Amino acid sequence: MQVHVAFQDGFANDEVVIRVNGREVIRETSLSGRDPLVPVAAVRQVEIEPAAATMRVDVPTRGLSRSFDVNFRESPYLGVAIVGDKIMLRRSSRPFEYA
Amino acid sequence: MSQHDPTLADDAASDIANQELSVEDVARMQRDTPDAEDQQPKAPSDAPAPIPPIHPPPLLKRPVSGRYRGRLGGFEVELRVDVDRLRPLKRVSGDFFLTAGATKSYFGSFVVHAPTITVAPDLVTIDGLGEYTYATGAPKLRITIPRVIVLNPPADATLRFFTLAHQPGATYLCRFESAFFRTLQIETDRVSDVTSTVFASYHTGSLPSPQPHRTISVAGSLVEAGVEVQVSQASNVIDISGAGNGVWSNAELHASMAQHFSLFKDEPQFKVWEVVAQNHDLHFQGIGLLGIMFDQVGQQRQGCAVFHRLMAGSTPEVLRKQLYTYVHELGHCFNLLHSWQKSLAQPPGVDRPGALSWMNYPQFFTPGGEAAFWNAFPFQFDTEELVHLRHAFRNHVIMGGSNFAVNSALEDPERFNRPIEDHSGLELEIAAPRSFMLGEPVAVELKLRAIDPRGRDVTPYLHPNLALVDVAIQRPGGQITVYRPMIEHCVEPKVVRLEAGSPISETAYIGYGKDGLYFDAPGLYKLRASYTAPDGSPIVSDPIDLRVRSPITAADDEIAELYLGEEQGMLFYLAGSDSPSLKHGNAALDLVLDKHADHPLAVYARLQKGFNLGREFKTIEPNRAKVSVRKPATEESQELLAGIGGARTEEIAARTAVYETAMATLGTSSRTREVATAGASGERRSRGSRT
Repeated sequence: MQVHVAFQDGFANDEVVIRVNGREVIRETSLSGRDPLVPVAAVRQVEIEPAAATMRVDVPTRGLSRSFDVNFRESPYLGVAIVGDKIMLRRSSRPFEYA
Repeated sequence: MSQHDPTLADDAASDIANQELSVEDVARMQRDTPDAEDQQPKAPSDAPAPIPPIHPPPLLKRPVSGRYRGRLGGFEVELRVDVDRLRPLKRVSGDFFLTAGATKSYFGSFVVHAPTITVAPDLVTIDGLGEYTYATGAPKLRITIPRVIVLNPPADATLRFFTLAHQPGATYLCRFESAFFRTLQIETDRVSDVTSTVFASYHTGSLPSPQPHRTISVAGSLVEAGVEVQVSQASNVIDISGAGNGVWSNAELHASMAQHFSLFKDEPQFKVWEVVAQNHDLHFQGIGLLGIMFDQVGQQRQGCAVFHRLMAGSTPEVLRKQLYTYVHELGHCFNLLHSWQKSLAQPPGVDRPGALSWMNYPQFFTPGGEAAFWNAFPFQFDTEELVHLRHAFRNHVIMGGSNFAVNSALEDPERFNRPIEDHSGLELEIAAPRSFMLGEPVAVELKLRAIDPRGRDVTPYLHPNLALVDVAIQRPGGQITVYRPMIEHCVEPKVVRLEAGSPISETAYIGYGKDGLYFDAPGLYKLRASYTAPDGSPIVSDPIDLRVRSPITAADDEIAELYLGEEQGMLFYLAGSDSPSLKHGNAALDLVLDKHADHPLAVYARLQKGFNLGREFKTIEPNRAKVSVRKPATEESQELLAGIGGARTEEIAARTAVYETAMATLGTSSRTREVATAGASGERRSRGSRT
């Protein structure tokens, strides 16, 4: 199924790798926010199976890693952010909106 | 009355402000109050209580919160008292304005975050220690406001300042002005391709939400925050062609604002433009943009946009989203950040991802996300945001709040901001070529004109050397300095009548002064000038941009290096010199003429040398008490200056013409002025003048 991943706030020239059940599905380099008032750096779509899995997010440029259990069917829209020194995952059943 | 500190009755007590305080001092200040002048409520007696007479119920007393205004000497204070009414924040704050001549300018702000409030039957007393945007000698204050019944007009507030040693400072009698703390003017325009209705109002009970349910509009949401809203009747429909391909970029929105916002001015004002559009660039990058505060250029935060692409229709969900977005963007115009990003502020705040506020994202709300947010959101700003809206220092909240002074090295950053009011009848303009090559001497033209048809009295000295005009220079990194000429000239005061239609002007070289070289790095500079009129009015020009271009060729680079020296700067300032102390500078100019005679920038070395040789030059010989006079070397001068026309490209002609005029102003001989023809060609110049 198609999953939408938004790299939201907190990125500054970062490399980000996302793996689902150990398989790399997204790799971003030089990821930076464009505008603090529009907290999204990039948006990607990726085909992911199965519907529920463990998603691991690594930010090698910051030495950060975190794993999340995700039900992609319930939350096909995911927002990845760096808040302080933690990776945060926001989940939504519908597209993220920014104002 | 102090002329420099609006909290002091005179300037004598200002020294106390420099004392270092211990925690014991602060605690004592919080316990101590200035000598009480007001009655405190009396303790009840021990005598048996008589049978109480029957009295009619007391009439309600008026709330005292709101905005007051007072004047003392040249200072005006706008006082905000916030101790009752809706969501009282138990704070007081204010802004000072200084009247100089026919102008009124913002001076500074103060706030008291934790005042002591004493409420007696007939009087409200508010005591506290303020925080100020400027150094004050009397930081303590007391506000007293008589309590009156609702049938009577609002009472005046008396605002008294005190030094830390409880010595009285200035006292202002402030008239009640409004129940609101701020007033905002909004103009809402719609783009022609928006077919859905511009948002009007939403009833908060339409979907699950906390009480009280009510119908609110965009204006109403700000009213609830204590901000009066005046909706401009000049509402336009903007043709979509302004967006090129029908999709708006931030730059196009900004350009559209400059064109269509009828209240637009390049200065701080509580006025905002909200445009209702359909599509933004980001929509086509897969980003669900509901709205954006796009005005992040120049005097910022004056405009925002909402996009109906994702908010079309009239269902309760759509109306709720529209209301949220319209108010959210206005919050950004007031300089509010997102709730979970308050740490990005300067100084940093505390992130509040769980805030039930217009400034949070429902989908980012923690814990519980979107559904939890809407179930609990009371359609308000949170308390900290309310403090900002009502009591932040003026420049931190007003749209277009002083951007020119960011990272400023100015002692008095307000000096180059436009006055709030200007009845001087004068207008100052600064103009310069839009760009220079690195190393080129930078000269500007200053022009003063009377816009009062009756004319105005002025002192006709516009050259910065004569200290009536200052030029502020913002360097590419944001640092701002004021040009300081090497030599200040004292002139006999003279006042002349400046008639409308007959401006006076002056051209001045400002590339080198007491701070050294001012344009010694490539990049974008901003200039702004200020002239002091005979009545004390500061006349401030519009800012202009000026770009110093990086060298392109090796020759460009070498010439830039040869021109950018302290001695060379002095030579440009003096229009040349025989002084032995500047021999290295002269040698550098000679090298330019030797190695790069045909380079366009060599014209400046020719001008320098030519002007200087064309005049007499006196030198006092050391240890001999003798003045030797070099006679004008006319032939050499003519040879140098005659070569200018051929060497000067069209591109550089206009810029050298400005510099030539500046040198002529320094009093070079009339003969050299005849030889050096100033032929300005068609290069566009950057002009900044107040209209």
